[in-house]
Amino acid sequence: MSGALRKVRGPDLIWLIAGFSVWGAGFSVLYGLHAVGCRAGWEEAGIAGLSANRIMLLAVYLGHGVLGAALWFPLNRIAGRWEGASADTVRRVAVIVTLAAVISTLWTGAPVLFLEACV
Amino acid sequence: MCVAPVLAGCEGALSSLDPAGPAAQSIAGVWWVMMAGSLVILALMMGLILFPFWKRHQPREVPETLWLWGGGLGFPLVVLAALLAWGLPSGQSMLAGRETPVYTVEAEAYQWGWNFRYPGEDGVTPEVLHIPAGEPVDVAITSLDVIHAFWVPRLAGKVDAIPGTTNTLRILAPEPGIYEGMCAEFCGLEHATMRFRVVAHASDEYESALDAALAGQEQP
Amino acid sequence: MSGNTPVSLHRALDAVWRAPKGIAALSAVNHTVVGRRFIITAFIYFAIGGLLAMLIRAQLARPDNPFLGADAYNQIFTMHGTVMMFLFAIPLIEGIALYLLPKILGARDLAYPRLSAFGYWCYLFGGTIILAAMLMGVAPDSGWFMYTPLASQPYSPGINSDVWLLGVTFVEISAVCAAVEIVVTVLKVRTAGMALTRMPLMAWYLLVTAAMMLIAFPPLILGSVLLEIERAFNWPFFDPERGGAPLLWQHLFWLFGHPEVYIIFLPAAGAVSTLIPVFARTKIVGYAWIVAAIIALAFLSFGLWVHHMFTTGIPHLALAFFSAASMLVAVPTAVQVFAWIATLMRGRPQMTLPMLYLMGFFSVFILGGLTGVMLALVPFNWQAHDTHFVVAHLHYVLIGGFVFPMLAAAYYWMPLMTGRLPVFQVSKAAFWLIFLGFHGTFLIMHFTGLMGMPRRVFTYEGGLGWDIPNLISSIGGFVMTAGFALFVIDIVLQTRFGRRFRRNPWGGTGLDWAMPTPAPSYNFASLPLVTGRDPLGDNARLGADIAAGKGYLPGAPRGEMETLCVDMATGEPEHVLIFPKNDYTPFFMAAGLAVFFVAFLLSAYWIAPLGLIIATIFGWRWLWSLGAKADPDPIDAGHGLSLPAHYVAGSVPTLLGLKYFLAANAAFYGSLMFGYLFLWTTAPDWPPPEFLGANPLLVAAIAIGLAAGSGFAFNARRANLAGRAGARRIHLAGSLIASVAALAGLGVLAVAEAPAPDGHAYAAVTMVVIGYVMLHVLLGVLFAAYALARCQSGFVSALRSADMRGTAIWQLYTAITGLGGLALIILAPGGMG
Ligand code: HEM
Ligand SMILES: [Cu+2]
Repeated sequence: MSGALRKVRGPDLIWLIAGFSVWGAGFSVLYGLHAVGCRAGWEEAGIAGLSANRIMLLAVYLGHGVLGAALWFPLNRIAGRWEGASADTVRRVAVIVTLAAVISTLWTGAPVLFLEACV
Repeated sequence: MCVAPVLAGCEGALSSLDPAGPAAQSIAGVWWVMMAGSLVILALMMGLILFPFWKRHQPREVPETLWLWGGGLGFPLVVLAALLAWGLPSGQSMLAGRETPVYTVEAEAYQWGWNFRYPGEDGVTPEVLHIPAGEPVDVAITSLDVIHAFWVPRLAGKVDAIPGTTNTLRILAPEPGIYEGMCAEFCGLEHATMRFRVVAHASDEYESALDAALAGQEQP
Repeated sequence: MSGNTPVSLHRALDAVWRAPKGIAALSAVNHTVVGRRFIITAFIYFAIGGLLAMLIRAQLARPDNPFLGADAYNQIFTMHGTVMMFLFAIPLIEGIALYLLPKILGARDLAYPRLSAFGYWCYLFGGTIILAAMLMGVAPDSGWFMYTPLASQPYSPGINSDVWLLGVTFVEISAVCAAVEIVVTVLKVRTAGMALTRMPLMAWYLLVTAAMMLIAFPPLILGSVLLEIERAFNWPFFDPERGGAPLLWQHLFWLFGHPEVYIIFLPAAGAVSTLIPVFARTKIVGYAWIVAAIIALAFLSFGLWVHHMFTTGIPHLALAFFSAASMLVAVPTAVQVFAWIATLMRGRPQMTLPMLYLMGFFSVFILGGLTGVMLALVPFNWQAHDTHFVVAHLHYVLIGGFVFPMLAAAYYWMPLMTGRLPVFQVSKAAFWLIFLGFHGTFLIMHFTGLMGMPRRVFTYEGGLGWDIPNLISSIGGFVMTAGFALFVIDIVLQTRFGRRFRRNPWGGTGLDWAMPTPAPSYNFASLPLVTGRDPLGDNARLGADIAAGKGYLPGAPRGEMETLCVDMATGEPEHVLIFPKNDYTPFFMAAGLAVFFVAFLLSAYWIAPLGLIIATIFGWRWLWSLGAKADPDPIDAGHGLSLPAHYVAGSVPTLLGLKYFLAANAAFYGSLMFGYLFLWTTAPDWPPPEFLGANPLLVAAIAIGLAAGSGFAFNARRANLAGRAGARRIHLAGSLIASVAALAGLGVLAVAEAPAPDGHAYAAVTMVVIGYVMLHVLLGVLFAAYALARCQSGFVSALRSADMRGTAIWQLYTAITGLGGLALIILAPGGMG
C-alpha cells in the first residue's frame, strides 16, 4: 500500500482478466504438451520412477499455479492505490477473479496427479 | 442397483439401464446415484427460491458470506470434487489397452453396415460380432468413409469409428447371449437402421462358432 | 438552456432523430429501429424452428412412422438446430443488446449505428439464403454441427452443405459486427458519471458476452471457410486420405460451439439479474461476485469444448482436464443462482408476470445444469452421448436458460417498446402451457435416451421400450407449441389493446425507465449525471429532469445527433460522439456481400469477386464519410462542460473498434495456426511428400516488404503529428509501395514455390496461411491509398489523425501476423519434418 492514491484507469482493467489468462495459458499448454508428449514417446523415458512426460506435466501444472498465485503481489500493490468511483468494486472483483483463477488452475490440472498419462 | 419395479421399465435390448457388462453396470449405477442426488438438489434449490414468496416478511439483511461463499462456492465444489474423484479413476479402469493384451477383434464401419474381423482369420462376419463370453475383448474400431460410432449399450459406452484412425473399446459379456448394438453417430441416410449385434459364446464353443460364422453358416 | 420546455426539446430532437419511412427505411441506422428489426426477425425464425420441431415430434410419435422419409427428416432436424441456434438465439441476444444498451447506459445510440444496420442486413440476407434452400428442398442435412467427412464433397455432393457453410458464415458476420459494437458501446458510450461499477449488471453481462463472441466466432468462420474451400476446390483439410483430419473440424466447431452456449445464456442471465431485484423490491446481493462470476464463466467456457468429443478416442488424461473444467463451470453459475436466491430472501418478492416466467427459468435451468454435470462425467458421457438424453439436456439448458428468461424479459420490456401493459390472464395460461408442455416433452426424453434411443434417427422399431416415452414427448411438444402460440397472441393483444400507463410500471430503478414510453427516437432529451447504480431509484424525479433538459447535451441545438463518450473506468465525460445520418451504405455493402455468397453458392466463381468489389466500394464510401475537413470547435455540453468532437479525441471510437475487430481477426489467425499444428501432430499420412520451397532471397524480400509497410505507416503518422505534410505523403507512399512489393513476393511464393494445394493437407493449409497474409497486405495497400487520398482531400490534420493512426494499426497487424505466419511455414518443415 505504497505510492500516491489515484483513480482506476482503463489499463487497470487488465486485472479483471489477468488471473484467468494464466489459467487459459496453463490449460492450453497442458493440453498441447500432453498430446505431443504421448506421441513423442516421452512416457518411456524418465528418472526416479517418474516419466519425463509426467515431470513435464507436473511442471506445467504447478508452474501455472504458482504464477497465478504470484499475481497476488502486484495486484495488491497496484489495487491498493486505487481510489474514487470504481475503486472498491473493481478491486473486489479483481481479488475474487484472481483467487478463482488460481483455484481453477489447480482444479482443472489436478488429473495429472493421479491418472495415467497416455492411455 | 435399481429397485425392482423401476428395473422392469428399464429393460430393453438397447437399454443402458439394463446393463450386462461391467462397464455398463458401473455407469448405470452412477446414473442412479446422480439422478437421486440431482432430484434432492433440485428440490432444495426450488424450496429456497419459492420460500421468500411464501414467507413474506419485511426486507432484511442477508448474510452474503453464507450464501455466496457457502452456497455459491463451497457446496458445488464439494459435490463436484466427489463426483470427479469417483468418475475419473472409474473411467480409466474401463479403458482398453492397459496391462496385459487381450483378445482383439476389428470392427470396420461403412455407409451403412459393419464388418468384423478376427485375429488370424481371413474373411469377415458382417453385421454380427462374435466374442467369447466371460473374458475382456478389445474392439479396434475404424471406418471406411464417414464417422460412425460403435455402441452396445448393455455392455459398455460408445466409441467413434473415424476414418484414418483406430479407436479401441473394451467390452466384456459375462454370459453367452445376444447383445444388440447400433451406430450412434449420425452418418447419413441409413443411420437409423445401422444396427449390428454382438453374440457371446461360451468360451469352449467360441472357436467352432466363429469358424461356422466365417464360413457363412449363420447360427442363433 | 433557458426557454427549453420538455415539449420543445422533444420536437427539436425528434426532428433530427425520427426514423425514416417508406423505402427510406432501408437507410435507417438508429439502434431502436435496428434492434427491433433483429428481435422481430429472430422471433419469426423461432416460429419456423418451432414448426420444424413439430414435424420432428410428429415423425417420432410412433415407431416405423411413414410420415417423413430419411432425407426429409435429416433436412428438418438439421434446419431445426441451425435455425434455432444461428437464426434465432444469437440474433435475438444481439437484437436485445442493440435495443437496450443505449437505454440502460444513458446514451442516444450505439457507438456505430451503421455497423449494426449492416449486421442486420447480413443476418437477413444470410438467413434468407438458408430458408430459401429449405423451401427448394436442398437444405443442409448433415446435422447442425456438420461433421466431416459426412459434410464433405464425396458424401454430400449436393449444395446442401454449401448452403450451411456460406449462409451461416454470412450471418456470423453480423455477430462479429454486433460484438465490436457492444464492446465499444459499453466501454465508451455511457452517460456522465456512469463509472464501470455503476453500470447496471446487464451491461456487464453484455460486455462479457460480446468479448466472448469476438473470440468464439472466428474458429467457426475459419472452419467454414476451410470446409467450403475443400468442397469447392478440393483442398484436403479434413480428408484423411490426403493428410487431413476429420477431427480438426470438430475442434474448430466446438471451440466455437461450447462458448456459444454461454454466449446465449449470459444475456439471459443478465435479464434475470435485472428483473429479480426489481420484483423483490431490493438491490441485488453480491454485485461484485456476479461480475467476477461472469468473467470466470467467460474464460472457463473456452476450456470445455472437448466434452463434446469424449468418444472420439482422445487420450483419457486430456478428457480428464476437460471433464474437470466442465464441472468447474457449474461453480460460477451456482454463484449467480445463490446471489439471486439471496436477493429474493432479502427482499419482498412479488409473483408478477415476468417473475412467473422466471420461476419457469429456475426450475428448468437448474435441472439442465444438473444433467450437464452428469454429462461432464466421462464414463457416463460414453453412454449418454449422442442419445436423446443429450437432446433433453440441451433443451433444458437452452429453453430453460434462454427462452424462459427471454419471455420474462419480453414481458418486462415490452411496455417500453409499446407503452402498454400485458393482458394478464392470457399470458398466465400461456406460461402454464409452455411450462407443462416443456416438461412433458423433455423430462421423459432423458429416459428415452438412456433406454438407448440415439439422436438424429428418423425412425425406430417398436418394442425397445421407446414407444410410450416418444408418444408422451410428442404430445408434450404440441402442448408447448400451443403455449407459444398463445404467447404470440398475447403479445399482439398487448400491443393493440394493452392498458396504457404513465411511467415505470414495474418500479425499475435503471435509466431505461427514466424515459417516456414508448421510448422516443432519441431516448433521452438530455443526458443525466449518474451517481449510483440505481439512478431512478435514488431520484424519482429523474425522468422529469431529463425531459426538461436539465442534464448534459439537451436537445439538438446544432442539428446534430450527439451523445457523450466517457472514460472507460471512471465514467467522466471525455468527448461528444456525433452520429452519422441515416445512410444506405450498410444496405448496399451487405447486398454486395450477398452477391458474393450467392454466386459462390451457385459455383459462379467468376461473379463472386464482383460482389466483393461492390462491398469494398461501399466500405470505402463508408470510411470516407467519417471525420471532417476542418478542425472542430469544442462543443458546449452544458453545465460548464466543454468537450471535443469524437474524431479529434484521444480515443477515437473508430480506432477502438478497429482494435477489437483485430482481436477477433487474431482469434481467426490463431485458430489457423492451431489447425496447422494440429494437422502436423495428429493427422494420419504425415509428413507430406513435398514441402514449400523457400528461396531465401524471396523470403527476405517479403519480410522486408512487410516490415517496411508497417514502419513507413508509423513514420507517416509521426510526420502528420509534427505537421509535415510532405513527409507524410512520402511515407504513406512508401508504405503503399512496400505493401505492393510484399504482395508480389507472396504471389510468387504461392505460385512458384508452394506445392499444389489439392495434393495434401500440408500444401492446402500452407496456402491458406499465405492467402491470409496476402489478403491483409492487399487491404494494407488499400488503407495506404485511402490515407493518401484523405490527406489530399484535407480530412487529415495533426488533430484529425484517425486515418493515419488506423492505417498504422492495420499495417502493424499485417506485419506481425505476416512475419509470424512466414516464420511458421518456412521454419516448420525444417524443425518438425
Ligand atoms: C419448440 C420446442 C422444441 C421442440 C419440441 C424441440 C424438439 C427437438 C427434437 C426432438 C430434437 C432432436 C431431433 C433428433 O435428434 O432427431 C431437437 C434437436 C435440436 N434442438 Fe430442438 N426443440 C425445440 C426447441 C428448441 C430451441 C428453442 C432450441 C435452441 C435455442 C433448440 C435447439 C436444438 C438443437 C441445437 C438440436 C440439435 C439438432 C441436431 O441434432 O443437429 N430446440 N429439438
Ligand atoms: Cu453410421
